[in-house]
Amino acid sequence: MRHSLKTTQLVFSLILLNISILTAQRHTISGHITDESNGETLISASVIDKLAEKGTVSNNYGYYSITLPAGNVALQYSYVGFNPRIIEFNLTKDTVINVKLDSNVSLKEVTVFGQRNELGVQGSQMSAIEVPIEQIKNIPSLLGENDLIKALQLLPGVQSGTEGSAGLYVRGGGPDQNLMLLDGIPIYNVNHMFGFFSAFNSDALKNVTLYKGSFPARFGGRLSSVVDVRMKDGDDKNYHGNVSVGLIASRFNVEGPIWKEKTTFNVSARRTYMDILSQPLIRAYAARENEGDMSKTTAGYYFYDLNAKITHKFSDRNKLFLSTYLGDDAIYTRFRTSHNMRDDNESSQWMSLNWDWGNAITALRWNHVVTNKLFMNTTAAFTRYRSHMNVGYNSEQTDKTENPPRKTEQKLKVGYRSGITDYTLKVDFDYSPNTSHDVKFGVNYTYHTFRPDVTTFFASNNMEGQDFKLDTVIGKGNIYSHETMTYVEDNISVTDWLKVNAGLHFSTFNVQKKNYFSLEPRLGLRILANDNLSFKAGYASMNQYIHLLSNNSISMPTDLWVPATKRIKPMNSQQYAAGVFYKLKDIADFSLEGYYKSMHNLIEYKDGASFMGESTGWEEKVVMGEGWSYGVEFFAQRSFGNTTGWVGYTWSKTERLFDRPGQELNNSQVFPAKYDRRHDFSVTATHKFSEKIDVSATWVFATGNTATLGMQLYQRPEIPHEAQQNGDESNRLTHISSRNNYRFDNYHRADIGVNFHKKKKHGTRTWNISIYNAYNQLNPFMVFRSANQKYNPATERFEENVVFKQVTLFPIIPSVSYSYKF
Amino acid sequence: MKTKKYIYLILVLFAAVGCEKIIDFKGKIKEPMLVLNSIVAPDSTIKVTVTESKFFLENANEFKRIDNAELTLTVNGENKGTLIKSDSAGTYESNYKLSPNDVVKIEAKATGYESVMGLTRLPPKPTILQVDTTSKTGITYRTNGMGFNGYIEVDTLGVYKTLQVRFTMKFKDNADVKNYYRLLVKRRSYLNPENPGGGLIPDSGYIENYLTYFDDIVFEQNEQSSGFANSFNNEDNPSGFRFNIFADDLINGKEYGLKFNDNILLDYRSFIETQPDFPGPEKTVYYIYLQEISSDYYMFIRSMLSALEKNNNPFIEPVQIHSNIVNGIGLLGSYTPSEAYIIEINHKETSP
Repeated sequence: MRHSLKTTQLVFSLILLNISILTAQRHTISGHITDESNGETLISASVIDKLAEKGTVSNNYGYYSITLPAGNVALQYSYVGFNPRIIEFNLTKDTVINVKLDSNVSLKEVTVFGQRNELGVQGSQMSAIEVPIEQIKNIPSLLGENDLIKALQLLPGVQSGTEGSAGLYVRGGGPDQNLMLLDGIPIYNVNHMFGFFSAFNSDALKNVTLYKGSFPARFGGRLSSVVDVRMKDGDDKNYHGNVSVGLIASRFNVEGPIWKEKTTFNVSARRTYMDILSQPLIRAYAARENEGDMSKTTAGYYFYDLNAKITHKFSDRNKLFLSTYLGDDAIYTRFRTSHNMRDDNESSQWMSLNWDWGNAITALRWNHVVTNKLFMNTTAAFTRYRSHMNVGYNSEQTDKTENPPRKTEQKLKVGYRSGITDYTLKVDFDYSPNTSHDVKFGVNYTYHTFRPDVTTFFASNNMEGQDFKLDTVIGKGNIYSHETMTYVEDNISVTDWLKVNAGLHFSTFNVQKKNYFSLEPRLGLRILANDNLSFKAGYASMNQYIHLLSNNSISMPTDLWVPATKRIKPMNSQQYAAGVFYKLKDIADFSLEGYYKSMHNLIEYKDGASFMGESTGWEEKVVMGEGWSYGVEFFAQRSFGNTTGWVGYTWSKTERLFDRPGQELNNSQVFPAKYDRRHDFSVTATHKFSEKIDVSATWVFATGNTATLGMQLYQRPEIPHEAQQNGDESNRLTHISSRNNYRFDNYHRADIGVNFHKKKKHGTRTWNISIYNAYNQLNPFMVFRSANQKYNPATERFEENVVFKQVTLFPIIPSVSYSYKF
Repeated sequence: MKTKKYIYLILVLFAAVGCEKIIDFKGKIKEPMLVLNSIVAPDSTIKVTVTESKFFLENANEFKRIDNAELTLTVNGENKGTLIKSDSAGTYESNYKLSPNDVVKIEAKATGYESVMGLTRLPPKPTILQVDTTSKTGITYRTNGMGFNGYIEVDTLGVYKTLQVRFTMKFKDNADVKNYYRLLVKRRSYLNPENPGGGLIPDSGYIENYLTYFDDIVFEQNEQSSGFANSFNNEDNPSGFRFNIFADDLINGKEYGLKFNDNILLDYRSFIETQPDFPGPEKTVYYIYLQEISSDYYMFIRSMLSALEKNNNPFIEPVQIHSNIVNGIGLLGSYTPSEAYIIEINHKETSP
């Protein structure tokens, strides 16, 4: 025992001595890495000491910290698309170096893709891809609207849902299992126009990273993916901007310094104008179809979004960011009619519908360099999604035959409110004690307010004999919950060839006096075979406390977020992944990954249950079950030269099983998940012919979606004492053998786009011509049985003429847009 | 001019691009299956229909009735012989009398089809403990004003006198098992033979119908698209109430007073000379039955109603209609009714 104590003391003394020696001989170099041209911080820029062959990367705020032995150092700062910069000096003390990199002229207009140090061959992170905004802007898109989500759908492991929709199905997960972060703050509804366009305006964005697995411990709260979107800070030297006019929307972006190299702003806005353009047509139609005065008829749909950010740099150690996002969709209709049936009788009706839904986010962020090894980011944020609908009806009649004239009035108002509001306070730290460790840790508290649905009714009628007045509120009160999380992760360089990212994520959720806890270990390994080849493996346990109620394949404003409850438990998943990463120098980067993911407590609607904006009793309408997904993903990308792009291929299988007692679906048999597809292939390429012309194209091929189809018709049983019959149709029933039992034809489509650039006096104008679905492939959106009843004189009976029909949502769709960048 | 021509050509080209088209079915074409349908009850003749299903792209106005099938009845594991083909096509019968809690198996074989089998356990007999009623009269004016249809010219045409009857039916749910029920309320309105109000009086002297609308909370689970969403549907009588089924989710093991209403038209007085008055019935008699039904029967009705309501909506997952026929389609359901609880209301006492 005594011997053992002595040994322990000796070991401790040696460790302390070693640490003190190491500390004494090492100094820290830290600072910010920015774009020289506009001061924009560079995320994940690489910093490597060429002599010691040790390195690090800048964080989300462009801050880096590297601790090296005293003596000569040769620091190389690099970022794709920028000229690398080497600074050599004798390191004798802690040093602050703020580095400005200038963009590489030869690569300036060329897309770059997935070059982040921690994501490529060298890094320990796998199952993650960075998508530069310039790449997204070049991808040909539906109606010429650049779309971040649609670009992500082209990546391996990510599947789209209904054609044209912005839903993301990542490695077998659902669209509610994606954590969409805008500057680190969750955004609940990422769609416009029922999911056909995404809520992100690419003009406002700087950087997007998608995580599909092997999640770092700093992320949590969703099962399947994290989409980390960062907004631009704004140019700190000059005023810039661009204006773009497209077929359905126009947008602008302005950025510049408020106080040169201290305070910057960046504002982007976008609005559709179909409603404005269509007004004359709607009025003409209304006047033609209706008698009386319809001149005040209006109807329309629009969406808008606004991103704004102000950044102020107090010093090299303190920086403040204030950012906001507002986005709304709105449907409205108003009409007024008036009739004079007789000279002595007048009547008029007025009706209106206003329905708007969308997000609002505001975040105040403070970056503080605590010490040159410790970086702190404190965020206070507000995020809200809400859906509001108001319907009003007013009817007035005046009977002039009576003296005084008798006036009767009917009024009806219906209001619907639903949504979710979060207040978040979080503190994140980056700690770089030495080149072997890169530690991140932090805490986060979120106060959720769920407003499931509240409907208000007001009705009144002063008609004689029918007098009544009703003024009431229906629906549940708000549900409040507290979510906390804390995490720690360390990116450890164990040896030159072995790198480990180990982390723990712990969260709690308190709702309606019920507490849930979740401890989620995360692990990532990288084995470097040589500079161009590595093997990686990852494990992630994830937990999700909120569910999205929706039973539509498109995004609807009635979709509703609800918390886990006593009965409906949080969802959780376990994901294992392994892969090989290879860099073929000056040609392309390749990766091949395999994964297996199991998901628990998934919810689905009971047979026959549906949800349309009403939360009451939702727990009784859903069942909980299991799901799993496995697959292989291949990704090859070329990110330099005049021709860039990528090829992605996914083989995957995703299934569901709901067999818990009382919660059975599909007769307790396994069934394919809604968007289970065996093959997904995409190729995207951009070629720059000259400074004036570049061309891009995308081709997508996928196994057809599944659908649930009743393939047998049969006579229904006679129900004793049936109160009423609905006619022949209800005597014939459709038998569905199992869920998702029919597969559509394979899906494929090519999109092409051409940009014509021309330098003008104050900037560059660009004409973009895009063709979505260039060869007009009529891909199925839905299929159905179509029957016409025809009388057959020969048999003297009505017979059905039955055909099988397919509906295509998007045939060939050309578009043109004009933009001017100054 | 040339440019205009090109623009016109492009517009015609896009207009010609159809978004809906007829396609070939490329899946596996399903062979017809036997459809066995029967709902059995204690002390009643067992009646089974056997038909053939059709592939969904065929003309399916009628279904072939299978007359050459062999149906075997097994009760509580004992073979009770074969069912006899009745006069009606595809229909088979047995006079074996079943009792509550019997386990019934019916197997059907027919040349060219896979044999099918259904199984059900007859539920125990429920008891209505008591039915209480309260009532109140009401007056409603009939006008020609519609309110929501363009023009309104208000005149009062007549006045209705009604009697609203509120029923409270007490029964005890069995806590040990999951129970499913169906409520049947038969109403007989006995008319005044001397003043039938312009209508003809049947030989029986009464008009008989079933109540179809029940607003008790136990029925709410049937109505899946209620509330906000339903405010857009113009459904006065949601299909979920058609069969008046409910499960014991909310009342498990309790003695429960199930509430429902009926409105009886006592009298109509016309203010227009050319239009006649309508005298109401002299008396109304209610026959209240509570059936305990098998889970398959319950699930079949629920899923069928949902399917009929929702399966035309392309954005909602289609509903699988419940079937408990092995290797085939259809339903072998069962129910056991309570004794009828009879309520008689004589309107001479409440008439004006």
